[in-house]
Order: sequence, then C-alpha cells, then structure tokens
Amino acid sequence: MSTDLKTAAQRVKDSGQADLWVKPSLEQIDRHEGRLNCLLSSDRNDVTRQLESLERRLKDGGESLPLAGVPIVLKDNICVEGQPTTCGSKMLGNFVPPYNATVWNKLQEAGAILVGKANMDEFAMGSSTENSAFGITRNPWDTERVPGGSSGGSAAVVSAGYVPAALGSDTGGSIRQPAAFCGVTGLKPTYGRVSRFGLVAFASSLDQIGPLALNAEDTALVLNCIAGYDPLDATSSEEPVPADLADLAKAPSLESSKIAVPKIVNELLSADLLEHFHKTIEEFRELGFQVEEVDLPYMEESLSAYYVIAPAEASSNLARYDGVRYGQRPGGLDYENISELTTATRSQMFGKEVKRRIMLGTYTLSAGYYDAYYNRAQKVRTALRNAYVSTLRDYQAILTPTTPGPAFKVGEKVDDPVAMYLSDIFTVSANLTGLPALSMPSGAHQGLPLGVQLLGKPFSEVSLLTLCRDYQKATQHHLSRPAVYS
Amino acid sequence: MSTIAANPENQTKWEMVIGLEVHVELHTETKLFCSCPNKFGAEPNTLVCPVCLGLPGTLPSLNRRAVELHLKAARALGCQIQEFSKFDRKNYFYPDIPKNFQTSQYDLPLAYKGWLELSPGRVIGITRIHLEEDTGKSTHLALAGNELQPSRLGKSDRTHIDYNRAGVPLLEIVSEPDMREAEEAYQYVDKLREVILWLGISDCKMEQGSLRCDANVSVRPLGQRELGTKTEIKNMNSLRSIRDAIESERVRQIQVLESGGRIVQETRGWDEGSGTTISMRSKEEAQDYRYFPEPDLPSLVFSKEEVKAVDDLLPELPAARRERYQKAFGLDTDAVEYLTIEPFFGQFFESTVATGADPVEVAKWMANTLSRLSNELETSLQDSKLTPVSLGELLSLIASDEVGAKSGQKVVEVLFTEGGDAGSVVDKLGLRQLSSPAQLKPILQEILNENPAVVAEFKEGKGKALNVLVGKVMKQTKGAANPGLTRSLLEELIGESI
Ligand SMILES: [Zn+2]
Repeated sequence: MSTDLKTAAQRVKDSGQADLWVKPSLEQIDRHEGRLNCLLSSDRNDVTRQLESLERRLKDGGESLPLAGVPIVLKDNICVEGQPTTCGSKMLGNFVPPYNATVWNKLQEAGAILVGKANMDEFAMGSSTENSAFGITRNPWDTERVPGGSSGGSAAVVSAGYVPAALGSDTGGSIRQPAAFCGVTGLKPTYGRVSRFGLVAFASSLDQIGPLALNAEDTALVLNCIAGYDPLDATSSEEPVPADLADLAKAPSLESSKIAVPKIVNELLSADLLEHFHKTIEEFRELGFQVEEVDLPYMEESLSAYYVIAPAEASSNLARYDGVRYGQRPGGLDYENISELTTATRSQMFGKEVKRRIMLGTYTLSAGYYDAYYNRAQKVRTALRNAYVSTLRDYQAILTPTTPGPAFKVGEKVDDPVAMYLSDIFTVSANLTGLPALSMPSGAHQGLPLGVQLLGKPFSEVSLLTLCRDYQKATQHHLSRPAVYS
Repeated sequence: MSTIAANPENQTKWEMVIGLEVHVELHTETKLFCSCPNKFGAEPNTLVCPVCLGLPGTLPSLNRRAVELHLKAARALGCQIQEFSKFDRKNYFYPDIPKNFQTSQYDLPLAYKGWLELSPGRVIGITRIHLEEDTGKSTHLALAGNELQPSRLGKSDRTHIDYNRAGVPLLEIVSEPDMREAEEAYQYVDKLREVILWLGISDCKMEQGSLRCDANVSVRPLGQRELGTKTEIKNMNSLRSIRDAIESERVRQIQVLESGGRIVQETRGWDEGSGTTISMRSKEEAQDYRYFPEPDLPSLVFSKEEVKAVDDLLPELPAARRERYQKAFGLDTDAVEYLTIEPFFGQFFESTVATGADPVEVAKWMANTLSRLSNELETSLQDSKLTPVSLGELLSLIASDEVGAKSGQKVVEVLFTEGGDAGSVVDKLGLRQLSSPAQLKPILQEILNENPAVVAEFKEGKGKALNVLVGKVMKQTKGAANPGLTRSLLEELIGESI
C-alpha cells in the first residue's frame, strides 16, 4: 500500500471496493509469513465476514468510516470476540474471549478490517518476541535478528508491508523498541488516553495500547480512532481528544520550539551510535528547533523501579491463571489438593521469563520487603515524574535514542536477562511517568534501522506527532523499507 | 454446650476479650464492579459476566451507589471519613475468588474510628469500615458411596463454586477488642444489624449470608493489660450461635490455660452440633496477602462538604429516636422500643400525633391493636390502608366519647383493610355513641316508663337495678348509647321523678 491511510480509506469509499487493500494485504501475509512468523492467527473466514459487513456499510454511505477497508493487525493480548487471544502463552492457548476490547470496537466502527493477530513475548514480558510460546518472529530487515518486543509481531507486520497499521501495547517500551528495531513509527499514548478494557493486563499502572504505522499522519489517524474516555476503564481519561489528530497535516508547525536531550545519553551509547544520534540532533536543529542538553535525574533508577513495579503488578494480574479456569491440567484430575493443581499448571504453562517476573513480583510485595522495594520504587516513580514534568515546562519534548542499539541477533540475549532489561533504559520512563512518547526511524546502522524517541507533556500526542511529521517531511528515514516490503 | 469442669473459684479470675469482624452485603441493584444484578437465591453461576468472573482483559468500574451506602453506614456509626482513600489488592489463591486477588481496602479505609452504643454508657469502638468485593461461594462435597453429600468441616472430594456472589459489595466492619462477654458480642451484632437495617442498606440475613460475623477471642487473667493469644472463630450462622460459640471458646481457652497448656493462634470453626469450636487452620503459617494499591481504580477523595451532605441526609437513628420520644412524649421503654422497630413506625406515630392525638394513646394503639392486626392479616402497617389522619380522627372520636373504645377496635380494622375516614366508617357501622343528653333523654324516659318495677327497686336502694336499666338502654340503642352518660342521666331522671 503506497498511500497514506486517509487517502487509502477514501479510495475504498469512492470505489465501494471493500477489499481494495485487504486483498493485497492477505497476499503479502501469505508470501512472507512462513519465514517471518509475525502472526499467531489470521482467520480468513472472519475477514470475509468483516468485508461483507463493510460492503453493506459502504452502500449505506451514512458513516464517515475514517479507516474504511484498512487492513490492520492487533497484538494478541487485545481481546477480539470469538478470536483466540493467546498473549503468546500456552496458558491462554485455547482462550477465546466473549467480548471485544474497546479499541477493537472503535477500529471496527471506523471501518478497519482485522487480518491477523500479532505474535508477542508471552504476556508482553520481553524485548525480543523470543519469549512467545508459539515461535520467534523474525525482523523483516534481517531474519537472523529479533523484531524487538514485546509488540514484535505488530512492528514486523507494518515493516514487512502486511498492513499499514497495527496496534501494540507498551508497558516499558513494548511499542517503541520494536518500532525502532523494525524501522516504523510507534506511539505510546499518555496513560489513560486509550482504554485498556480488553487488553490482557501485564502491569496495569503502566500498560497502554498504541498504534504502529509508517509515518506520523497514519499513526495520528489510528490514535484518533482509538483514543477517548471509556466507562469500562476507570483509569481512562475524560480529557477531550484534540481534533488535530484526525488530520495531522493541518496541525500548526512547532518550529523553533525547544527540545531537551538528557546528558546521560552520552554515557549510555557506544561511540558510533552516539555519532549517529548527534546527526539526528543536527537534523532537528536544521529544522529550526533549539536542541539543548539537560540534566535529567533518575534515568538509571527508573529501570530498577520499573523492574520492581511491573513484576509486582504482573504477579497479581497473572494470579488468575491457576489451572482451575485457564491452562491445561498436566495431571488430569489426579491432584491431592488445589495447591498441587495450581502449581502443576503454572509450572508447565508459563514460560521462563513470565515465571521469573512472577517470582520477582511476589517477592517484592512480600511482608518485610514491601517497603524496601515496592514503596521505594513508587517514590522513585514520583520523583521521576516531577523531574520530567519540570523539564517539560521549558521544553516541547525530550529527545533520546529509543534503544541503546539496533536489533540484536536471535538468541543473543536470551540467557542474559539483565542485558535484555538494560535495553529498556530510554523507554521505561514514559510508562513510569505516564507521559506520551513515540519512536520514529532516524536512519540505519550497518543496514539496520535505528529509532529516536520523543517524549512530551501529558496529552501532548498532537505536539509529538507534529514534531515527528515535520521531521519526516524534511528527512527520508521513515521511507526506507526492507526488501520483503514490496 | 460443654460445661466447665474447672474449679469455679478459678473461673472468676479470667477476663475474656472479644473483637468482631462483621461483613455486611450492601443491598445495591448491581455488583460492585460490574452491572450484574446483586441478588440472592438465583441458579448458580447465572448472575455473572466477564468482569466478575475476572476474565483476561476485563476491568472493574466502581459502583458509586455502593460507596454512597458505605458512607451512610460509616457516618451512622460515628466514623471519621478519610479524605483520601483507595482500593488495594489482597492477593491469595483460592478458587472462589475469580482473579485470585480480592479488591479491598488496606491501609487507607474510607471510614475509621467509629462507635456503637450497646446500652447507655456502654460504647464499643469501631476500628474501621471498608468496602470490598465478596467472593464466590464454595460448596464442599464428599463422596458417600456414589453420592455426593455436603461435607462438614474437614476433607472433601469435590468443590462446587457459585460465582453469583463474586463481586457483591461487602462492608467489613471491624470492632475494637472492647467486648468482655459473649452477651455483649450478641448485643453488638444485634445493634449493628438494627442500624444497618434502619438505613435500608442491607437486609442483614445471617442465614443467607448477607450478614456474617467472625470473632477474635482471647482470655487473660483479670487485671492484666496485655492481651492473651487470640483465636478467630468462624462459621457462626445466627445471633445465638455467636453468643454460644464465643462462650464455648472462652470455656475452652480457660480450660487449656488452667491445665497448663497454651493457646495456639488459629482459626476455629463453630460446630453447632457438638456445641464446640473446632480447629480449622493454624495461623502459624500465616497468610501473606501481599497488599498493594489497586492500579485499575482511581483513589477515592471526599471533601468535608461531601461528608456533610451525607450527614444532612442521614435519618435519625433508633437510639436517638427512642431518647427523643421518651423525653418529648413521655413514652415508656416498651413503647419506644416498639416504635423504633422500623423507621416507618416512627413516621406513622409522629404523623398521627401531629393530628392532635395523644402520643401515649397513639403508641398504645400501635403497639397493641395495629401490631395485632398486622400479624393477623399478614399486612404490614405500611401496606395497610390505615393513614395517620384516619387513626387520629378515630382517636379523637374516642376521646370525645362519640365512639366507645371497644367499637374503636372494629372501626380501626375496617380502616386497616379498606381505608376511608374514621367518621364515615363509624356511621356506616352504626357505632356512633349517643352522647348528648338531648338525644338520650327521650329514649331513657321511655325505658323508665316501661319498667316501673325496676325503677322502684332502684329507689329502694338496690344499686344493681340501675345496671338492668342500662342494659335495656343498650339493647334498645344497639350499644350506641354512651354508657357513662346513660348511667348519670338515668339517675338524674329517676331523681326528678321522686
Ligand atoms: Zn458481573
């Protein structure tokens, strides 16, 4: 699909041809899925049903359908009624929700067609999609490499040209890091901007659903469709969705505003990647932005805080998968008591990383450790938010690399969880503070895409996307595609 | 009930300390976090939805009505309201909690520091009242041959779970360890129940589990400040069993201590059959609930103004109402007890008094006649056709001797079942007394003329003869003549004729 989403939807509406984009999308999936393994399911009968329904709606002509006939993919932790929602876990291998996530209701209303559900790290825990119980997804740029994670499937399907947009979820960088690894644009909205109803929880106070697409305008359009208050999610915000999101092209430019770069970035990047990052800074300067280095404290502490809070919430959120209602019972009915049944199911149905984080979280919440870990992490969180909000009083956005490096090789970090966790250093702050952040392509390093992150004030998605739009107008990085794309 | 075998002299040196945890299911239309109906007695697992079953991806939405009822109960029980409170997750694995955590309140409950008066001067402190979601209900079954039967405390072969109750709003009311006798625990729950029922926020049916009570019981030598090791008593399904279980536990603990043993901190279940408490699980392997703030719900914030608004809408409570009725209307204890059985009685009473009726008479009629009618006809006063205005009118007719007290009973029964105004009913039944001398005199004269012999007897000093004449008047007037007036007029007329 070589056009922007707005034009694409218009072409569907003008032609009345519901499968205008869906057909080539399915063909592209069939061509490359065997090698890339981006999807956990793609229900063609359901696609046909959706297309029939869209055709009827196109004939009625009474609806605006901003995403008419746009094929999309949802991460497999987003519930779709009647479709398997596995979270990349054996535990939910046969779970079919009887309800839709609010985001899918909204996308459906907008006319989008779901063509598949994306692979992911089990329960969104991971940075490489290697923790999926259903196989590794390959990076479309280099199949020896990971697509990032946990929304690796969602980033790869956009990068590989399966679909022009996908939804992922971001708990510590799970949209932005794979977006960077796969060379696409991905946004984690402000906490509360998008309803979490129907998103299988990992860490409830950090999780947020967001779009991945090929450019700022498309990302904005999808966000516009899914954003807004939802009575089913008490943490969703009543803050109105700004009109500019629907038509980002018309949003006024933010030229000459100030952008902050934390000094600590200089210590965290290798020389060649640092040089690359400084090129990005120069590109912003050439666009007329004032880029200044600032002291931004707690970035290192934020990683520790994240790896206390996220597992703590996860240990509670995942407690319901106990073998009574979910997962298989490896020993049939032959258990002495409920505790044995639960232990057997959880031991065998959860993967290594999920068990590691459940144990970590259970430990940090335990009596005697709560104050030293959870409480302290919450204090770091508050301090971090204050530091960010105060910096953002003087700056439009905070610019950092999205990751310390490009996509790594499959298997390279699986046995080194701490190295894997370290790759989240630039991204976790946005989740801990609840602030919006996007990742956009900023060029390549040895043939692999790199991304930079823009982080802004609460509910400043339009500003971030406008910065991204202006950057993409002046540069070509976001137009690079892997060979499989065409 | 087991009886104490120890030396009675030794008994007296022990003091029992009791604290109670009472759970009350709030009577809301829907559950706490979803829109499933909140009701008792439906087919198992029919009042459930993805939210209260804790299906992946679902989220709680708080039922504000439950919070309003919580605030009402809290203020009625004299609690302070936390300006900032929040929900927390209580994590433990048990199949009847669908998420394996219960959303509750831990360190910042909405209400704290309240009190409940058992009798004048005897006040029991309330530590806190918090709101949480109820769990599902497990039924443990044991195989007897090929049949599954309910298993008693102990081992079971199968457990059935009903999630209809999961997510029902539940208040946990925690008392201070202020009670010293089993009887006080009984009174505490009874009074608490009265307040909750009065507020109309729960039906408090212990047999249906909408009011449940656990007791923390310990004993210590009289005069010792330090508390003894406590046990937690569960499975008390009636007010009486609360009293019996606590008393039995007191006896057991004293026996253990006097025979040189020590009390184990544990949970014990009340066994109605044997009249004893039975060890259920030891607290030595204490549960760690790993509480942490519920991230799916925003915190609750209440300003002083909002709390005041709750106070302004709070009804007068039974204890205050009893005191006021005694002072203002000079009613006795029995009367005020009766009038505060339910809020409507007081309203009816006061409305009737407002028509000018004598408060003592109104209370008497309500506690006797109306209560009897209500029972006989199986119709509550509220559902009857009787209004305060018609009762007031009837009482005023009785006071002015236009209706006899006995006839009044007949009239009120008609008013109760059919309604109408008292005067019309009196006339319809022909029960208006002939109370004016002008009306009565011609009738009396006629009777006197017809019965010269009886008149003569009276004149000779036979007092009884007057009764005969009164009887004849009553017969003639079909009971409508005012008996007192008839007597005095007869005497007067006979006197004149001498
Ligand atoms: Zn429900």
